[in-house]
Amino acid sequence: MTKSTLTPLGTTLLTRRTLLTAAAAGAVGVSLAACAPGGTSGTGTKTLKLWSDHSTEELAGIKQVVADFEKAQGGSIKVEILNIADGGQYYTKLKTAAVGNNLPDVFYVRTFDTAPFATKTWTRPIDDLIQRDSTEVVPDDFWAAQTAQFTYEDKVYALPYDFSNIGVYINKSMFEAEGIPLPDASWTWDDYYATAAKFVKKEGGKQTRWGTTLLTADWYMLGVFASNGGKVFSDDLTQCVINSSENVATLQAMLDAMEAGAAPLPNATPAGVDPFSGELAAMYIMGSFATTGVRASVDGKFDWDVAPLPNGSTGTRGVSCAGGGWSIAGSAGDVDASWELVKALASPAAQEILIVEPTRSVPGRQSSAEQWAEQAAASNEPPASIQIFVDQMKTDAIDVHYPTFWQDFQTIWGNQIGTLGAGGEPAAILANVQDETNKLIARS
Amino acid sequence: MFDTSRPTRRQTGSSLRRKEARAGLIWVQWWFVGFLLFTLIPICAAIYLSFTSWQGIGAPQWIGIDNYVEILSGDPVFWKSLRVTALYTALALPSGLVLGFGLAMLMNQKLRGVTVFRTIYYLPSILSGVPVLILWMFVFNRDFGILNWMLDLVGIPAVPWLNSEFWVVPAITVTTLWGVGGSVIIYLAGLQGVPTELYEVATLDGAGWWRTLFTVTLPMMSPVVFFQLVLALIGSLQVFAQAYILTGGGPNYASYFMSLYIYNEAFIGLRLGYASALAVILFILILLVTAVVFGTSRFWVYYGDSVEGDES
Repeated sequence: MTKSTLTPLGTTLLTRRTLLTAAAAGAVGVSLAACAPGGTSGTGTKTLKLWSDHSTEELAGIKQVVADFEKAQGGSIKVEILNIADGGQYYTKLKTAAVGNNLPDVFYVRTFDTAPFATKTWTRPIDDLIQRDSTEVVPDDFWAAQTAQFTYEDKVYALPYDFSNIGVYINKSMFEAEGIPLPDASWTWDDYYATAAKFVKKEGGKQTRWGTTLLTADWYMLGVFASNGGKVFSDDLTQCVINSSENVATLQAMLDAMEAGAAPLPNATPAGVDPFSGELAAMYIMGSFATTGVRASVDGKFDWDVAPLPNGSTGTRGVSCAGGGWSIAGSAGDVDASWELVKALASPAAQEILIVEPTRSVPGRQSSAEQWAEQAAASNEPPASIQIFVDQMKTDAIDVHYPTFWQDFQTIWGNQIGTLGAGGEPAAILANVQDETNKLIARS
Repeated sequence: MFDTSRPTRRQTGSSLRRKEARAGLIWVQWWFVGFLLFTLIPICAAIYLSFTSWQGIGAPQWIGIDNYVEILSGDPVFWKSLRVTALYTALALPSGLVLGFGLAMLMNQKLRGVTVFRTIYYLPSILSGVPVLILWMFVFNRDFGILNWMLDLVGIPAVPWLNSEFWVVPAITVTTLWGVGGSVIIYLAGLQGVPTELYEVATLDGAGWWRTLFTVTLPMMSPVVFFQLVLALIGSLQVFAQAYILTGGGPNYASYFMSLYIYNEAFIGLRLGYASALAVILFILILLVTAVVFGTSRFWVYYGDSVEGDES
């Protein structure tokens, strides 16, 4: 066998290697080019990136607002929208982008995010811009409570989109069928649980109807605890103080309702079935943002409305509020163009498209809220008493500020409150939440 | 002029080996680029960050071994997540191996229509994880789930599968076992490679089913079992999606696996230095356990009569 017969494979491989090396270099080049940030194109058009966290229906409205904005700018600004409908995924994307110094110019934030994002300089304070364009922005038109929630160390970090609070959704048909009077604004948490107990229905040893669903969402519970005289955070927002006798009593009442069957135990209602629209529960504690969703899912099957939250032992309702808004990234390249977009997204015209017309949530502008109430009344669509969300905002909203460690608190709260009704004792749950949160604060 | 001298067997083999190695390196270069960019560099970065207090902004602050000291001495959630991960591994690993091997034995029978069953058992493996887990939430529902309905038929009271600190890990294990079809295919390929003459000899020698299993099938299948054991062990220690989707780590951290803890520290709390230290500890743990398994393999894994270094 000659040497030459041993080498054809090697000869071919050298050629292939050259080819592969060139291909690798090309691919790396293309990849790097794809990573290049946007900015101003050769035609002079600026490109802004906008990230949002909304449903498909809301996204259609946002696209319309953005299209109107681009038109108004005479084609000098183009906006690229990225919408991530899942809240958890949205925040993961946002945080990884922030750590990679690759945040979009403008992005959707919630009032929970103000302090955590501001301390990391992910968002830019916009006081100077608001002051410069105050005639156009009309800052007094926003809810004072929401502006306060978007404020960190005396600086404002976002313009509002919507401002939500919580009410009790009522299946009126079920109340009428059982001959139970509808609640009025004076009802208390005791009345609420007693009313819920009247709807309990069991068939063949299995419970098939409950009086109400319970909501244990962290920000909502701040208000419920407050209505019974309890606090969750210290006044300076540096410590968790949730483990108090008042708060234990609040959780105990919820647990009693579960054990009596007035409210379902965790994971007791059928998975994938909304208990309210599925007529498994007569009442449903939910946010103002859910009105359009409930309207669609009930779809005329029964009459329903909303009622104000019950009063607590302090004699107050204690409604916690939270909302969304639009921030400019601390790293935004073109602040002026980004600010123009933020103004457009928070303008009365945008509020009309995004919130008034679909009568969802509560608009971030008080003037739009009036329009919103008129629109709701004229539409003859449930809930007839939608105005209660605005009234609660005006009269019952507690002064809530979300601390820098809010997301850690959410994780801990979610992990512990899941045991309520599954063997967890209220006192132990609250002690654990407080202990773990304060340990995390110390570590951070 | 031709070189007519005959190359020695050693020279020819050496040259071929070099060429093969070169060819192999060229073929793996794309993989190597990916490994470098997405595995090796991130691992090195994580090791460095584990000695810092980096929270995603500014330059990482070097704090030495403080993160490790905090994790090992002052973090009860770490020990809880480690216990939960170990419990899951102890449940999922042996049951997955036995179930996979047992099903493969059944699927290896020469029966009419057995391919239909093979397809049925393999199907769960090709379904995407998240939608499947959503379906499992229906199954585990306390009052309306099919599992509790079946228990009710035999008089067993409803179990709060995903809300009980005791039952949540066994429930998650069941969701994992549902996808055992993937390993069944590999076992099946191994079983079909066992020489039939070995079974014929065993039969002639009067060996029964169990005797044949332990003296022929298992020894011949031991490399496949070893492969599956290593993969399943690493997978079990890295379990994440089930808890992320089904329970969020609850109730009361009863399903707070190490990977979920790392994820939450990194992407919720943005304590990237601390999360990196947790990741390094998990990495070392996996490395040690895998090394132990490899170390024991020479006692129970049978590679036939091949001689190392045989070039023929």
